[in-house]
Amino acid sequence: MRPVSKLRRCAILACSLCVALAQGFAVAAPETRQITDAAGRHVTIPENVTRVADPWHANNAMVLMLGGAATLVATSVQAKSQPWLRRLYPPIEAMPAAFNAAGEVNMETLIGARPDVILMAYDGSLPKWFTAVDSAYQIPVVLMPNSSLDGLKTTALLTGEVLGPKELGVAREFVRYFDDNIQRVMQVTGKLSPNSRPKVLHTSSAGILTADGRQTVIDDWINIAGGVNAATVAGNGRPVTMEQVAAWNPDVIIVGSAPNPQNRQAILDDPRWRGINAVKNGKVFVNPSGAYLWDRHSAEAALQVLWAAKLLHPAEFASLDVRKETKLFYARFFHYELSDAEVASILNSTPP
Amino acid sequence: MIKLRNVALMILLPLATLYASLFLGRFAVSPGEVAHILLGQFLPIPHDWPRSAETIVLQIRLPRAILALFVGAGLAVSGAAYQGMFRNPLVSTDILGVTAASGFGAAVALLLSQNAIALQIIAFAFGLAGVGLTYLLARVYRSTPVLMLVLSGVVVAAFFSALLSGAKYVADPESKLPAITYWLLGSLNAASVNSLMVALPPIIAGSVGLLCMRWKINVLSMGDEEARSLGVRTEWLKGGIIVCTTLITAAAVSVCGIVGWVGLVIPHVGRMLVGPDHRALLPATLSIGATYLLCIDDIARTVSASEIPLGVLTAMIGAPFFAVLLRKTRGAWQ
Amino acid sequence: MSAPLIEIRGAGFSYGEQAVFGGVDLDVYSGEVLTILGPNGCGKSTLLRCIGGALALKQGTVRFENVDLSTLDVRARARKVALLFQDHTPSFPYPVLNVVSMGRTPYLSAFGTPSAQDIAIAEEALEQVGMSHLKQRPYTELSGGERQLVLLARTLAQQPAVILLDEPTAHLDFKNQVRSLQQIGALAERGVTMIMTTHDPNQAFLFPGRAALMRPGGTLVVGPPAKVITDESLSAAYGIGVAVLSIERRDGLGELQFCTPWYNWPHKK
Repeated sequence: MRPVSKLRRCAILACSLCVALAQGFAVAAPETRQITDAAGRHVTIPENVTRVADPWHANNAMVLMLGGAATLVATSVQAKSQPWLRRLYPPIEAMPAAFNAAGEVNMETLIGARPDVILMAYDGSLPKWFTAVDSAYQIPVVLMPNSSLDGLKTTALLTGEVLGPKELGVAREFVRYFDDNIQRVMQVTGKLSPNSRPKVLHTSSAGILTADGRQTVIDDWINIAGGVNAATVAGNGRPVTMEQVAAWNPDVIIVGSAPNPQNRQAILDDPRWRGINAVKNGKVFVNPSGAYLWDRHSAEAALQVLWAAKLLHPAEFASLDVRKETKLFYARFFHYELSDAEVASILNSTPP
Repeated sequence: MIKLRNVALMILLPLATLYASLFLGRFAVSPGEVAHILLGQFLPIPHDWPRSAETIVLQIRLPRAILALFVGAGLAVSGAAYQGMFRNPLVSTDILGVTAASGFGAAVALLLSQNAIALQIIAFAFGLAGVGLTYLLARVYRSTPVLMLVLSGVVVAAFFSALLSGAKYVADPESKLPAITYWLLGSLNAASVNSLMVALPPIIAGSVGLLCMRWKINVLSMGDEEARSLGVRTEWLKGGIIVCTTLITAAAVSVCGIVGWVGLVIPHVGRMLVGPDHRALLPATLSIGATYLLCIDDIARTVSASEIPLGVLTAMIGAPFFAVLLRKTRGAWQ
Repeated sequence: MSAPLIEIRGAGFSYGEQAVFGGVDLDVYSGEVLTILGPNGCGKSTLLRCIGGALALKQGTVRFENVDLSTLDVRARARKVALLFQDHTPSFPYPVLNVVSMGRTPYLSAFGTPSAQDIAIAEEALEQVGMSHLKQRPYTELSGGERQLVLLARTLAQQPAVILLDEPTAHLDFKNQVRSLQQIGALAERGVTMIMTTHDPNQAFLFPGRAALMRPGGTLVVGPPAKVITDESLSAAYGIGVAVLSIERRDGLGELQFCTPWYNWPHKK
């Protein structure tokens, strides 16, 4: 047989080299997937998300719960300061806080954390830093709904989808659990007549007197739990006057601004509140807070509906043991065994 | 010389405004209902009004209106006393730094999440400390010349303003900063019976003190040297005036934030009505100041669903009024 | 000669290191008008203020009816001595009667206001200086001369033992100077004791009482005007040529002394 000519050998070598290189490049190009967020945007994120920045305080606990704790690389100042989140997830203390409570971002810290994706709440308007992050630095931002309990379920599923299939599975489990709880409560409260629904005022009174009104998460769980929102205003944290509160004359007051126990005491001490039904009948309560505030858009909203239902209708929910449910929830989703003292601390909204 | 009719008017006007404030507001309570509620506290008449109306009238509107009366009266009489002491129509009660120092004290209290009464006390203490600092800075050879007082006041006020900016900088932007900002704009919406008990004694004590000194203020306004030649212990008198006005102003700021233009404008109104003699002017400013601030507060809480801060209204009304006054008097006293 | 009302011994004053006057001995008798003359800056105003207690002497004492003035408090002093300052800046437009009533302040209690009796005394003082018709007028609307008389009325309302006047005619026009001096003369005739500083030596001749010439260096020459005010003494004190002349009054009321400087026009030979 005639030997392969030198030229031909070179050509074959060159072609193989090219193919090999092409294969190599194909492997090096990252795989991506598309996800549709709450704003209807189609966001391209890496197939495998390993680094997540979460400026949304409430959502950090959700990420933790779904199993994505290891992916968290940057968070917000307020999330870092949640005492229970620190207990459940100690690494958050050392985590860089690229976002502060005013919604401003420290670009250097954020870029330095090299996140694959940013998870953010969406209430109809984009966050201030959105354009810079999205266009200039091209970090994908997934926006999630912020203003109802149904939206909370969507948030859980979206977060799970971003994090990966295993986390998505946990999210689906959580949503099932949430729905079960709501169902359990609505079975009783769905049958209540309007007269037996107490007027509930959810307020923050640190500094400026505010109330949380209609079309909010708070409104949702008040309704589910068999109450009616005493505040006729719309939106979260609306400043209100004492006269308005006196005119509403709520039957139950739930204090939801940190530090909750002191704020509740301030209401009890203030002579202007004395004529209000809730104060007269001793029905002023502190809203529990754990990994995040139960009453706001957090994973523990699943417990909030149980707690609120028992609060408003103790007779109908006599068999419901909120402490037991809390322990079960934390064990199942946060993989943490709560002691009795710890449960009490969460329900009283005191640090661990 | 002092007509009985004028005295009666000066007493009745604030009281009438007080009564009106009890039924004015976004939540309807009729004048008759108010009368019944008030009488019902002393006489055994049947309680036929809604409980929420009683809470609104007695626990919310009444303390607030009384506080407005006293704060307005106190700030007005302090302004008049200072204008006499400094012999200057542009002097207001802030001149020695009490407002800036109280404001900083309130910011500190809000940062430390103190309740309303603790905040009042802390702001009051800071106000007194600020003026004390001004006084110490101004002492020259055992006397405190007016010019030194004014300059020291500027320095101390600037110092506390800077500290206040620092406090705002470190405040949490979600809860503390809005609370501080809102407080600084001035409002009586935190008025309750408890805040009355803390604020009223210093205001009353200071006002009574100033009334006692009203003739001497006339003499002091002739000049330190002349006043001394007429037998007035000028250093004691100036110290006394400063103590009284500071008690009043610190208490006022601690309970309702920064409400300006009252101490500046009302004395001028008083002079237009009763003349510059402080024997008539100081009592007149008490009455006019009380009625004025109460009316403004009624407007602040009634005009819109969310309250207009008091300091904003007093500035919006006071500044143009003062401009008109300046044009009318062309810079001269009257 | 009765005991002096005021005895000043060894009085000295200095602003820091700068001595103004020193070693001044002076007696003032009840019912006299003592006129202190001297050039600007010789310290006569300062001396007056020291006598009145507005400034504290650095050396020496001022004894007032045998009581050391520096031991009295401001109120007690104001009942004995009244001061009429030349630099007065009016402030608020108080009615004239109000201003004169301020003279009663040394007699009021700590928180008191003038009583009806105090007002009556003030009204009488106004009457004495002939300003009653202006009693409700705002004081800031008066002319310089009228204001001067109102302040004089105030010192009268103070009912002091002695009135100290610091260059009372300094800022007045010719007519008002005469008016003021005539009022002071009327008071002198009623026996009010006064000490007056003036830059015009002529005024010393107008009133019953002695003159004190303050020389540069702070020494004082006291005596009847005719003795103290001479060609030589004035020329030495003011450093210019002065002649003291005497003319016959046209209304037959005797002689009138006056001083006139020898003007020296540089271009005349």
